[in-house]
Amino acid sequence: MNAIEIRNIEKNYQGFKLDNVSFDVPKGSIVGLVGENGAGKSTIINLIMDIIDCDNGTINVLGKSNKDKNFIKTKQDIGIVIDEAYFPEILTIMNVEKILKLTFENFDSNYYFELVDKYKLPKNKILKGFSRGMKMKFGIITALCHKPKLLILDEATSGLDPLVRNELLDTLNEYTRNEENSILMSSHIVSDLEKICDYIVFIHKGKLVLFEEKDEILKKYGILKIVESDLVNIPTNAIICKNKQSFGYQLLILKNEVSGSYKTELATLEDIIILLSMGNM
Amino acid sequence: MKALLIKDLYVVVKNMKVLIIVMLLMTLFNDPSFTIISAIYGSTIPMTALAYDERSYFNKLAKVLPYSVFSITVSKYLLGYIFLALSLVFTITVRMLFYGEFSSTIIVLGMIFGTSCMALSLPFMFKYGSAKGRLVFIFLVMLCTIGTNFMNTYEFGLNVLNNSYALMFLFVVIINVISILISLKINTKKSEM
Amino acid sequence: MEIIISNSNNSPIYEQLYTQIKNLIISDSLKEGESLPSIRNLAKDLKVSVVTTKKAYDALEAEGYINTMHGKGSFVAAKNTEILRETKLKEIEDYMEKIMNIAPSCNLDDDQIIEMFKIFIKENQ
Repeated sequence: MNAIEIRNIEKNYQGFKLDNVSFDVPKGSIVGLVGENGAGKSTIINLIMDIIDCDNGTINVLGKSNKDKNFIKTKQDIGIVIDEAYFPEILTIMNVEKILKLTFENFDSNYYFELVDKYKLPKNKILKGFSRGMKMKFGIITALCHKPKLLILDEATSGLDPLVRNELLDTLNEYTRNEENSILMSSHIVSDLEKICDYIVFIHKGKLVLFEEKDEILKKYGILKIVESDLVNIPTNAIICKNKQSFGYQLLILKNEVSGSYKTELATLEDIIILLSMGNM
Repeated sequence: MKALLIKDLYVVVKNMKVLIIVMLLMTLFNDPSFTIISAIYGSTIPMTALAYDERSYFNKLAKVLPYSVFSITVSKYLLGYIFLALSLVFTITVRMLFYGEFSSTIIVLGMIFGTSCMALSLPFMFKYGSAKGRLVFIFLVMLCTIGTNFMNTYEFGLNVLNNSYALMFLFVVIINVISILISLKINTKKSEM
Repeated sequence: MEIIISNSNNSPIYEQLYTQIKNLIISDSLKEGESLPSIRNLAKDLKVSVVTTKKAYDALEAEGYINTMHGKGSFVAAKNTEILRETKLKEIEDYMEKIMNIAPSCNLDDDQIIEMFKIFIKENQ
């Protein structure tokens, strides 16, 4: 079962095209959506939530088409944090609780205040005075307290200091301890995704470059630094892309296609993403 | 719907202090047109709420939360009606306290002006945002004021009202229904980024 | 149960998990019939991918180290001959390690140790 199924979606804007993108968010997993600014991450999330229409393709969320008349019922089981979109800043945490209670059938006030206390957020101050970190923490709280089965986060960890980021990642990690719960999170900070994701979706200029299990990616790819004269010894089918530097080449290679005499370096997800996007220029 | 209405009430009530002072000042003047202005002020409340929504991009968030387009749209109208009613009740109370009488015609006239301004401006607000919508609203109010001066509307309104309360009422209902339908259509249309 | 996952380790996380749990079973740190943490909880505690953890468990099950009962979780299996052999091998390795640790204090180099061992084997035959 997949929490989200995206099949061949297309969307055309002036100067931008989301081109035949398909991927899944398997139930119980955390899927990271990576891509540079403007790659199409937010467009994908908008398409999933049916805020905008696809030109082509289908999207199923929690087993239902997002074009279903009752999609609003499905939304009861979705928690979502959108970058820079909050409750009106004149409200307080106490006010928002009342609103959420009327919004979500399964809203759990105890859990809400438990998290508010855990994150040490002020209950009676208006949101206007919150820092970005506090706003994001609060955003995640508002998305979690109705026990959603699917959590969608759009750039929820960007612009936060490392401590807060870790706290949030821990919360997300805990959330998926329940195997019914799934997360789709977009970010351009690859290291955040590397920490907690099970699968990685990499979008580059509106095209799907990679949809694979994270550990499989890390196992499969390696980095090889060699001088130009050695380049001929590397089988061409092993080279995913090469980056010429002043003293030689930096190659992204398939580890199992290269003989042991060349020592490959461990590639982080970030290295892989950067080299892959160079290869797709 | 309830959730959105409660949200707007919180937002607006926090601005209430200003609102009460302004309404009080308006009603203290012993001139019927101030009652109408107070009513119009009550009908600007949806604008205030909408402006707060826009400032924190709540309108974007509302689309992904389980709110229907119908609730997102109609809750703003309801908010307007509630505050219009409140401002009129307020006027009546103040006038009873200070003058011991009030004119029911003025109240009806206030209601008509208030709802009309709201019905005419809200679709613009939804379409172009509260900043531009506010301009439309001011323009409408100006038009009304100029119109009233030209025809000495108070007298004119009295005559019309005395002759056909029902007709005026029908007019108000019709333009509000049309306005809501247009707003619904605007909000249903999906944004292209 | 102690497991340490290292990101700087060159071997994939799946392998680290698999080997470490296997060694825990072979060394009898995990006893027969003892229950293992659920895949999901182990993954979340170690902050590694659920898919990877599942793969490690699947491999351990395929090789008879653990049994998974649907809905009840995974348990350390009764040791079969293959595992017993591995256990003994592990024991031998441990002794060898001890030898290697003591050897430097007697100024023995690798070749001398091997020579000693050959003589030892001959005498015992």
